[in-house]
Amino acid sequence: VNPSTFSARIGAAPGSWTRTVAAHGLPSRSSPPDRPLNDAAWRTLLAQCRRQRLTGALTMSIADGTWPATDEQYTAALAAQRSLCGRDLVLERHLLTVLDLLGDAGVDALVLKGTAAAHLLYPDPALRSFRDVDLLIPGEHMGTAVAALVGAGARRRYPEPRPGFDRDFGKGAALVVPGGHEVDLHRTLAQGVYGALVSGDDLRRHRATFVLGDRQVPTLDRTGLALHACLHAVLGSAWPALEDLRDVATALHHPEVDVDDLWARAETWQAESVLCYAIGAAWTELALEEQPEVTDRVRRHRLDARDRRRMAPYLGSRRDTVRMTLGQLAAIEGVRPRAAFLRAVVLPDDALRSRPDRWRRGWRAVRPT
Amino acid sequence: MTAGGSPPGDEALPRDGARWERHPATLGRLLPDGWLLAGPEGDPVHLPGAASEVWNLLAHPLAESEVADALVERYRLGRDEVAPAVRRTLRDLDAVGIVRHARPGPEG
Repeated sequence: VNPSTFSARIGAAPGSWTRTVAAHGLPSRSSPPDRPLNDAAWRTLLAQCRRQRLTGALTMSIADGTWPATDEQYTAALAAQRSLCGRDLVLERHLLTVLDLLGDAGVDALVLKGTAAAHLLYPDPALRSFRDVDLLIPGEHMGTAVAALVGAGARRRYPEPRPGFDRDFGKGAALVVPGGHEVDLHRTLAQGVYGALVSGDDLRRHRATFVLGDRQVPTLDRTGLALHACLHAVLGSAWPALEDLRDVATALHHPEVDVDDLWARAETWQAESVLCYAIGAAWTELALEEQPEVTDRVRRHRLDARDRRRMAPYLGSRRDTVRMTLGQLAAIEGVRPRAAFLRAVVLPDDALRSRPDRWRRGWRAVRPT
Repeated sequence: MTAGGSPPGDEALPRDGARWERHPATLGRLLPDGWLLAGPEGDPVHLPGAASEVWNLLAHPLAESEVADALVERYRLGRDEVAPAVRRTLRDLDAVGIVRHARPGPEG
């Protein structure tokens, strides 16, 4: 399969200069401008870099001389980068507090996504900012984890549909901790059928740590982080953000990410097609040079009818949470668990039914797109 | 880059005064214009220029006078000018919990 066809099916591209910034540090065919951008183009670029959290790549590329900029532009980029990095440090401080709380409650939490990627996949964590704290929690610890955070003043963004849903079926729970920062507790890595196929136990078997201040913080190994980056880029939203594709490309270029192992793990979860979509989109959007070990695999991959059917509800304008839910239902084994899942989805508890935005959220889930 | 101090040891003997070290719990990012550091509480602090250099020097515990000596040599400035600035910087960083007086090493 031609990798570029995946990208065309996945998403709209932001401005091309932003893509060039996103490719900073990667072997890309895209080139920076040969002189500083005019004011209007610069303002657009800086706004997009802020939104996509790419100010690290922008300031580094100006500082290392690859991106031409005026003194004023450099000063503005540095100020934006200081602001994002300051927020990252505050989030890291919250992360340590949350890990202490969960550790005291006996919860085995592993750090996921932004924070872990910043420290283990990127050459410098200043190159990867993040907006929240993400943790992988064993299903059987979900209740304890939520209770520990709520006990410390956090509140759930959405109630659990029925007791035990977080433990058995949910992707996870989002909480807002005092200070307004979000902590996402993930039982698995995706909504829908892929959430049911991915095994949290498999993920937890391959661990690593990174240093945060005076602490060793537990996370997935780099190959696990790469796998999650691919799943998140394709399944996490209708259109992948540039920072998500940058994560995919950065992970796949990391010397300690084992591509054979990555494919083998994806195979056990029947998720090779997701990998191919993520890689195809990243390589196309960031105009990356061929990396035969990776791109040849994508070309050789055959997307069969089952994978097309499974992935369709996740992608682009056809993203459809009802079909995702039906996909998950089909992947749940056993009559009783299926009945429990269906009951929780169709007849949630009073707390969820009485939410003022329930009808708006319900309409968003089923409206035609 | 995570900002964490090296374990205090006896390899850097002060010429005078107490030694300073990075607070090991400090979190940080190295930016093109200096360090951004967060102590245990409060907002992150930006250390540009020579202040950033003070943080770099404290990768190993040093006395205030040793920090000043290093900066005098690096920037070719007068000691009278540098020493008070180093003192001020260390006190400021101490106040936000980013540096501290060095703890004795494993051998005391």
